[in-house]
Amino acid sequence: MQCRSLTGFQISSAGIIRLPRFEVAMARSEANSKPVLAAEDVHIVTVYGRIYCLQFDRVAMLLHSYRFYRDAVIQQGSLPIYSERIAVSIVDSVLLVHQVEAKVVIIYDIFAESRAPISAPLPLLLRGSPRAAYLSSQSTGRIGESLETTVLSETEAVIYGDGWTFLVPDLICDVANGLLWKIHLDLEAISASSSEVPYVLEFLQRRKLEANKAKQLCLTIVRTSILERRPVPLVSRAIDVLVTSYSQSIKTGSYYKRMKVENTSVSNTNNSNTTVRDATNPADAFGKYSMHETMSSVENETTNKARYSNTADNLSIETQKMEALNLDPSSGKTDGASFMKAEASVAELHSSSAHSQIVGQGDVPLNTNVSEVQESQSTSAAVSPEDLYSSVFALVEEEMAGDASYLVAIIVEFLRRAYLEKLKVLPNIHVLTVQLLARCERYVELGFFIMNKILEPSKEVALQLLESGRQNFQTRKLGLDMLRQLSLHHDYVLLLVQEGYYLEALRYARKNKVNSVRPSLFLEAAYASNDTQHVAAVLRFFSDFIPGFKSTSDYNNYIHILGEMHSSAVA
Amino acid sequence: MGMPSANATSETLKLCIFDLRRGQNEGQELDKILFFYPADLPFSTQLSVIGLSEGLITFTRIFSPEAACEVIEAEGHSHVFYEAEPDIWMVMVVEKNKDSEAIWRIDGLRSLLKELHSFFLMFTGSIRALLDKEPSGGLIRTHLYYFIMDYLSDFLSGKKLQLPNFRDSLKERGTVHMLTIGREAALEVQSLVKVLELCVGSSQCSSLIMYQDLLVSSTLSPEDTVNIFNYAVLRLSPRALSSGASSWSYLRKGNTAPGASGPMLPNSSSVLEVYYGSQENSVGGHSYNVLRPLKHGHWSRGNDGFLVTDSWEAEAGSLVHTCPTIWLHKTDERMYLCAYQHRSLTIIFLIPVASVLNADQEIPFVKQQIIENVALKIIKVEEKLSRGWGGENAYHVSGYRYLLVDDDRCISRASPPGKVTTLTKESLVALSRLREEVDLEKSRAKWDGLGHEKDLEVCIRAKNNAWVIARLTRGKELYMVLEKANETLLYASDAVEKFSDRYCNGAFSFD
Repeated sequence: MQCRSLTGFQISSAGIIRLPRFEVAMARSEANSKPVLAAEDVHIVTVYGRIYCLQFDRVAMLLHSYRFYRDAVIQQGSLPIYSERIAVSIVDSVLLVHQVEAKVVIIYDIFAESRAPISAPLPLLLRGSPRAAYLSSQSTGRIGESLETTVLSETEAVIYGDGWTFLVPDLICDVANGLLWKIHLDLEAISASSSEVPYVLEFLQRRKLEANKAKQLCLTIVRTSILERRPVPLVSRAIDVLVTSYSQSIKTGSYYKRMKVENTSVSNTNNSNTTVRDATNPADAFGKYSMHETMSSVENETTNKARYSNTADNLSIETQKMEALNLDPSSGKTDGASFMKAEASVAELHSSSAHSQIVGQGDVPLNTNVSEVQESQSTSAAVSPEDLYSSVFALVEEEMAGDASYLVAIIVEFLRRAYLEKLKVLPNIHVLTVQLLARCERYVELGFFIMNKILEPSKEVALQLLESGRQNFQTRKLGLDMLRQLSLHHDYVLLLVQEGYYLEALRYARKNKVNSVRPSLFLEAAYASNDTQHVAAVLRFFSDFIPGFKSTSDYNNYIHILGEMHSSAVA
Repeated sequence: MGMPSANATSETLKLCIFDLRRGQNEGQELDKILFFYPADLPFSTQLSVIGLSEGLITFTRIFSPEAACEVIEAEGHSHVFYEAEPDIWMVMVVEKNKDSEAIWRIDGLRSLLKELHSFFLMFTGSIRALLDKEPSGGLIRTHLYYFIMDYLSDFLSGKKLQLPNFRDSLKERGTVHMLTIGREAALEVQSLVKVLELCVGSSQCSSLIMYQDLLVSSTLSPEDTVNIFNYAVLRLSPRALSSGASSWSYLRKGNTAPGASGPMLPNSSSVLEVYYGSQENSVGGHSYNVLRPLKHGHWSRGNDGFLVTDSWEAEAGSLVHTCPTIWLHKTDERMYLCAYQHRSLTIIFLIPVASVLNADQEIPFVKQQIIENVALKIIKVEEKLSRGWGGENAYHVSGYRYLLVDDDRCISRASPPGKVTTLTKESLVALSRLREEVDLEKSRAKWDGLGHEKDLEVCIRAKNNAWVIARLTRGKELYMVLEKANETLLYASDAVEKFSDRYCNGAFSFD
């Protein structure tokens, strides 16, 4: 009998809701044979808070995906399969399709429409001896050696051995060896295995579990691309990805949340369950559907009986599990504990009541402490313009000394993108651009940059223009003009005097009521010009406009000097 | 030597170029003449003009060796001097007539000589270099003759040369006109510039982007930008290419027909032969391949968007399309000039000749690269600029007729010519005279100012009750005519202040 139609149930506080029935697609090998859907061919996964049913079509060698909505179940496309036996894991919303026979994993990031794998198929790596109380198997690019040397020799663990049972979302139970493995993504290795920088960055930007690491990786990737002088359009697209992602995280507020979390000190007190909604996952109507997996009764010597309920906020779960699992292996190996086969009973949907519960046998609930939960949840890999400046532009600047124009091109692309996303860019990037342009003596371009406000006016930029303009009079002038436009009256007057334009400075000072510049500066400048008329005029100016000036030492000095100048002129 | 058309103009304008280092012996005086317009004047007349000029130069050099004679104002004529290269002088003689249009501003005329010479430098190199190359002078004479005649043809109005007079007081030759763009467009443009640079692949590549007849961006020095920009406005811009269409730019007279060089060059060979005849008979005028970059109608837009010309082919003597080359003023470097045009957007990029080993292969390759990688971006930028473009009168400020000059960057902006024509002759003459005074002040300040720029402010109430105003501050100049304005000086001053605050970032706000 062929069974093709499935019905989902959502278990909510209001009761059990029956979801629309749907039929799975199955190809026929021959006209009369009807393929049978086996229980192990159906998987329920949660990706970015969305719930999918994955169904393996053995004849067509395709993995069909169906997304659950409240009122419908819609087929979303298919992934090719290269093995008779497959398994499915989800780590940090990344879909891992284990091609068991080929012993490789194909990694998909089902976020947008694209159904292309993130990288080439990667093998699993067993990292960490089971004795070391840390279980993780890794998908990575560079596996072979470490596999042989460390793992195989010590244990008899065989990758994709017959004893492996895959537990959704990210556990593997090795019945033969009495081990429980947790799958962990090696972001570094994944990003190294793909040359498509923008895609890798997009992928990394979506990582929540190790957001900080992902962020650092992003910065490193961009930095390396610049140092390697990759083509500007490519680097520009890479920066586009980061800027867009940052801008989105600003809009949804998750970025600020992270800032907050980072600021709070990490406390280690255990706390009751707290679930912080992940703000970057737009809480669509279906986000609250979650999957309940009874990975029932994983028992070992300590007989931890853990019951996971996976909420839509899969992140919180991840860390909690981590805690739970860290307990397991510590005792697990020594006695060759028997793992009960966990049966992933499938597809009961229940509304997550925003509670994730882990029931431990002892009276210590396996909770992660709050700060950890928060950190893992609200951390986003978003890279702010300041990060880009301090970790990319400022760092590469020295090494790019010979080719400033390339770096300027990239900064322009960055500014363009930031402008489109309406992001505020701190003056330091503008200052850096001024330095770069001045260093390769591209003063004309610098002029255009300032004139067209590509570099936004600010005091920092103005001062840098004055500094960089030591060799270039026009650039100095740009700096001065900028000070004036910013109404930084004091600095403007001071610099005008220093440039020798003391009469103009006086005029400007009077108009804008600048009285913070010492009169002696003007008098010195006038004296330096060796023009008695000007000295007299400046003296007169201060006598007229500053009450009590006539009693100051400046006045007396310069009256005296003026007299001397006169007499020497006459002589 | 019957040249009726030249005769008609010979009354009003004489233009000559001579070399003080040549023909210093009696009987060889003709040797020093490198160019004379009108060419059909008898040698005795030519020599008397040059003799007078030379005498004055020699005399004034006694007092001012650095800057000799600048101008002679005779009763009926003005002689404008310009030392283009050491000992090579250009002198222009114009007739003065207060009743007609013949009211000149000397600096305005001199800027024409300057422009002419910098064009020549850009395309051909220095006059001295050509003289050294061929001391007999045949080569330079031929070059100058065609070059200047082509240049002057732009000033031909009907059958008369119409030089810039008082009516052009609100224009500044030798500057560029900028398109004002917003930050977003500027970022797009800059991004295009960078992509272009990287696409061409040479770090010394320069580019210049124009929208219609306005400059959008340039990576060249101000002098070179001015030269290439003005050449592009004259010959490369969409308006210049679709010749016959009227132009609102000061550089082009709307009534200039492309074939206008015809009457200017009646029988050039006979003109040139006179000089050769007086020198050596062996040098034939026809043996030179003369570069005529200013000749009308020799640029056109190819199907691939690149502009092509046959002006440079004569130089190489080959049939393939050679890429034009120019000399940069600042670095004295020879560059290939390529121009790409998409609708109103003209993109000119220069590639150092030294960096190209095989121009026949590399230049087309670069062009191909640009079509493949940049064309899309160009279309985007063009659309963006077109959307923001305010039309010919975009920079009109109602109530004001103005000219704004930034000397540092060689940029100017002025009221659109259509609006300037509404001014009365009195106002314009007054402005012309005011500018003359300012020019004098400026040149005085240049000699004793030690780089200190002059601040200056003049407001004049003209006879027709118009305000004529000049303000100079730190390398920026503002000239203004306010007709039908209130009679108080305060009003005029306020008007300038308002203008300065709104359109010049307060650069001219004094008090």
